[in-house]
Amino acid sequence: MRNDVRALRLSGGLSQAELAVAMGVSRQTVNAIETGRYSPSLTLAVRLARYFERTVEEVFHVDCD
Amino acid sequence: MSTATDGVRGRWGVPLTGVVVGAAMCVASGLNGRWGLGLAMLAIMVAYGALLLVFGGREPVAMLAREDGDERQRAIQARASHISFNLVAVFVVGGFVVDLARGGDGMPWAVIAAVGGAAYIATVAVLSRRG
Repeated sequence: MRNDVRALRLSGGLSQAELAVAMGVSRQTVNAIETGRYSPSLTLAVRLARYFERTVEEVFHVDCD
Repeated sequence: MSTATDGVRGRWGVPLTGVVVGAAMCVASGLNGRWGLGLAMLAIMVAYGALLLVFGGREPVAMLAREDGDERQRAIQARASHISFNLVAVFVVGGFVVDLARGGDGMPWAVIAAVGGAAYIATVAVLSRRG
């Protein structure tokens, strides 16, 4: 699942570690989400979207057939 | 909310538990006069605990040393447990078959398989009720 977490984080001048603290997850988890290796739970996806003041659909992009 | 106490317990909990288990194995083995074997098992558990403490900054090692973690780490733990359970199940069934082929009665493989199977069935039943 593609997402814009990295772009949004960088535009906000945040490090992965800072975003991880804000979300209550590990830095490795933020990295895994940004690189598409891990799809976050619905709860974490909503929290990320709210943190960046976006909707979930604006942050996460599900490629449908 | 995490506290300093949680952090200490999280970092030292598993290593100290390992040392305690190693000490118990050492005493149990020593009571049968096999202190060499007991001390070797204790040394293995102490070395494992030290490994967790020294390399605890690396994520895989930190995950071995703690039972909590974020959602991704818990998912990894669950998948690792699932894969480990399947490998042990294959090993136990294989041991049971080989023991039967050698003329044995399949013990203790059958008991281990029964406990594992019963635990799996009970876990599925409980978790499915919880949704």
